[in-house]
Amino acid sequence: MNLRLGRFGRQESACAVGLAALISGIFSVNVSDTFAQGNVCYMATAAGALLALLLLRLVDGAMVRQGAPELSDLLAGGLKALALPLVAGLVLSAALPLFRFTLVMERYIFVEADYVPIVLYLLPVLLLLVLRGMECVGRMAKLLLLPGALAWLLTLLLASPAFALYHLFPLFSPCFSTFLDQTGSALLRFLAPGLSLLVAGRGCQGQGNARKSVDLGLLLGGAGAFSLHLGLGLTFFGPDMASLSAPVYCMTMAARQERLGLRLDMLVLFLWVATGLVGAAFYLYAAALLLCRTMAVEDLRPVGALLVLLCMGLVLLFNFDSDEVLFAVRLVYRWGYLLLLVPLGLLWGRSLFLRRRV
Amino acid sequence: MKRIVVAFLLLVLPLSGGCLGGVPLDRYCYVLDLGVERGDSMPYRFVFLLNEDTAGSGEDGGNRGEVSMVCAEECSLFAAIDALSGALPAQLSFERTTLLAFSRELAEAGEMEAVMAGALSRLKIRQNVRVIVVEEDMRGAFQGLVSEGDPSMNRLKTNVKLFEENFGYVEDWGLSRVREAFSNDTGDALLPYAGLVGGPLQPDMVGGQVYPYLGGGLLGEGQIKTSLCGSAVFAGDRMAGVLSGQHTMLVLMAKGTFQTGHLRLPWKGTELDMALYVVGKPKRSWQAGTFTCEITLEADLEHPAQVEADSEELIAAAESYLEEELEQVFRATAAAGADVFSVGRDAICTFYSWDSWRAYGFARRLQEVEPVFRVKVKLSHSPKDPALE
Repeated sequence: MNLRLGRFGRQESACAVGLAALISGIFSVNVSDTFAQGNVCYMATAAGALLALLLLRLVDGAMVRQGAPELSDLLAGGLKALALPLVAGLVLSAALPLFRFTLVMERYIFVEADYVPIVLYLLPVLLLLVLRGMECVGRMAKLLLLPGALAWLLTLLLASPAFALYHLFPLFSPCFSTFLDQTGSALLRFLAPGLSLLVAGRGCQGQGNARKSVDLGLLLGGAGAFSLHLGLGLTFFGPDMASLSAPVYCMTMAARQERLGLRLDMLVLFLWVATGLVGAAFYLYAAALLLCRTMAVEDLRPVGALLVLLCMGLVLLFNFDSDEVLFAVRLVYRWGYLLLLVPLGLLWGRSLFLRRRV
Repeated sequence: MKRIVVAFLLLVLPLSGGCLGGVPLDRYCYVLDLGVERGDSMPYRFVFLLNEDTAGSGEDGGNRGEVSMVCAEECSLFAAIDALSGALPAQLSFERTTLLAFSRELAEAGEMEAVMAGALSRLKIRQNVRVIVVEEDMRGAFQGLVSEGDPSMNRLKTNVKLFEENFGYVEDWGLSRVREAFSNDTGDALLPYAGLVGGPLQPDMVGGQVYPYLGGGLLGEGQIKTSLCGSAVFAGDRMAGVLSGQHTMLVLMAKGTFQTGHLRLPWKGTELDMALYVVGKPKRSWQAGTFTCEITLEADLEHPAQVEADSEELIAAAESYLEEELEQVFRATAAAGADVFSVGRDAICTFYSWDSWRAYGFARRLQEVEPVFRVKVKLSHSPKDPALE
């Protein structure tokens, strides 16, 4: 067995969940659709994070009922096929923020470079992290907690002179059904981090630790994402934001800055990219581990490498300029959460009818 | 063996990313300031103030003696850059650009957005770059700002901050705010206005002042031949007129961005110089077509002992004068379709959806808005209570 799980504590796992939730919560948003009719994204983000926390508690309850230390144990007994949508959901969760980062770097930083070479630079880092395993990812997440927090703080500080309450108005535009839609979409962003830790629960010194880490990580990551979305809402009008490819990056340049402040936007972006790579590696490792456990593969490395390549392929594909791809990307943003929600719902439902096995 | 292969792959990977391109990383001509005006043969003339990269150079103008000005006439900024690429020793970079200047003619024709659209983000020009309007002759204005002691036009940028904070004669606008003002009905742009010293004395769109402080028309003259004062007023994306520094100060008072300034108060056939300080934020409200704004100021007379009146009379005169002036500025700018007081920001807060806000058409109804200004002045050094020097 070479599953590269290792042993990691509550701090590492909470940091991994928190950073992944923060990154997904901010950068896995379909900017053009979400803000076109106004801005309720900050409310939907908060609601999505809390709803995801509740759903993950239910899944955790199902695992406790069935005495399953990891999520993959719930899939035993003819439900192994449910691993596929879960893996797909996790790979997409990794690809979406990386797509956004690459787009920002191509449009604003390396303007003379093409999209593809920039993606190539992300590949070795991601590959290395996934192949080194969960212990490495957890420790990296703990190391990157400070840079991640710094990126969050600097983004808000740089944008704060441009904050104005009137940008949030009209308050109830778009309507309530759009808010519900966006809350559903936010589930993909916040279910994936918690789910990843439940998949790698055996390395986390017990299920209780994993549960607490999920709670803490999701609450902090969700709060961070909510505050940034609120900051975005205070900086730009919703319809104006819809035309920006990278609102969070533009937010750091919204206010007039002198001297040091002029250059901090790029520094902040690269802090986000570093944090985002660890978050993506966390999802991809969890997806690889889930596949290995359900398919009884004993070596994670080939599966991990394959999923990293698949993720990079998606990042390349998302930038492909065709109506079909654009339509598919919009589907992923809007309904991608069902890839995680439906299997988890089925597993939870089944657990209600089964006796505890251990 | 495996490690060698991995090391080899990691080494090869960056080479596939174009890292070894033909442009040396340390050789760029940095565009510090970019000016755009109407061209003679082509639609636009682009004026670039360049700083060739050497140690210690930067956007704050730390470099000395390496600044040069080049220009090109073309249909777009990209075409101008292409035209210049063969005529310059190094590649142009806009990473350090801190100033965008547009000529009054282009601003009045509403072509600023057309020049900016698309080009700016692709050229890595930051969204917080400062934007100003120049009366005419961009090359002359840039040349006038370059002096021996300050080759990078740093003084102009300092003046914007100085005039905004100490006098309220200009408001500092970044590109991001300008674009928001161009595309929304929640307040129009009020950009700093610059002109060559010695230009004709021109009245602003409100009038009523003997000597309006306006870029180009200032009476002082020194080494720097381009002066900056007052504001270019926009209605949407089109320049609608100019406001003097004194009237700009009144607008800033109502918007809540005023800090300190001076007021020349008509008083019994003469003028009193009164220093004003802001006390808190103005209280603004919007209700059924009426915009109400309450401003509280602290005033300080330059020579209180020379005024033969009690404080109450002087306070009443100052308050009444400020209220009248504010209303005049509001009506004059609203008549030109410019919401420089950003009343739209207060109005939008009373709407529940974008559709209803757009259907309301605030910009069209601006002239129907009834302004109510209430100014409260507190004299800190009054005739009754003179300051002891």
